[in-house]
Amino acid sequence: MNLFGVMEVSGSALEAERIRAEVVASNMANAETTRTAEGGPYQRQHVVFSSAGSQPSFAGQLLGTTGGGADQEIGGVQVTGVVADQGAPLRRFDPGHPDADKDGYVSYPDINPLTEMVDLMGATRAYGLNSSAVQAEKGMLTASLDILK
Amino acid sequence: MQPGAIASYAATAGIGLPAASAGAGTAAAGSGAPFGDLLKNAISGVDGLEQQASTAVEGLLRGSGVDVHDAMIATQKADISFELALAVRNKAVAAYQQVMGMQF
Repeated sequence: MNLFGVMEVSGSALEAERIRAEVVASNMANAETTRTAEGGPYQRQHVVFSSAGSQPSFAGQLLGTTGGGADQEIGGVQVTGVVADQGAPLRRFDPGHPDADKDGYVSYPDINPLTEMVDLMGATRAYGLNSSAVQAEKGMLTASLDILK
Repeated sequence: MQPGAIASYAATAGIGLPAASAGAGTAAAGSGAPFGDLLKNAISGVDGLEQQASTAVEGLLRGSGVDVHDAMIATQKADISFELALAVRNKAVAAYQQVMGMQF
């Protein structure tokens, strides 16, 4: 890992949190959507993160400490996928709705605005803290340049 | 402190005597790459980072799907690496001027 390693790691986290916020925004925008290309109401989407780069194993750590192995690659985070919630849709009685079934019930996506807002706050805060990590790395680099002065 | 005491201290502390350390210094200087090549590589590295930054900012302004944080991080990388190159250059020029100003 070079001088800018922390920036790469934090950059991947910033991207991941942006995608998370996008997914939350999509969920809130489609809270009342009853028609999708796949048919049926909109399904709530979840974002799945995974760790990029290898997890440091004990043997790897030991070899790294004793100088016998290569440096452990410290990776950031990556978005593995966006998966649909498999929960049942909400059924509301609304016989006049064009998407009502024969009993007069309309299937709406089971999206709770409170849950989505809390998720959005989490994404915003996580974005901010990773941005702070970039700032800290910048401060460290500037401090190391000051050694030469 | 007696000269003999200094020598014995150097021996116990594992510090090489002046003659030995001078020999090691010339060997290290002989095997290394020239300073000019080092400087050229550093400058081409800075240039590469600056081109990355300009591509990222241009993509951001065009709206071609570049993330804002990617452009900002690329800009900061270019800024910091340029500052490093500038600091090295200033140090080299200062050393040159110091040598030129030497009085015998």
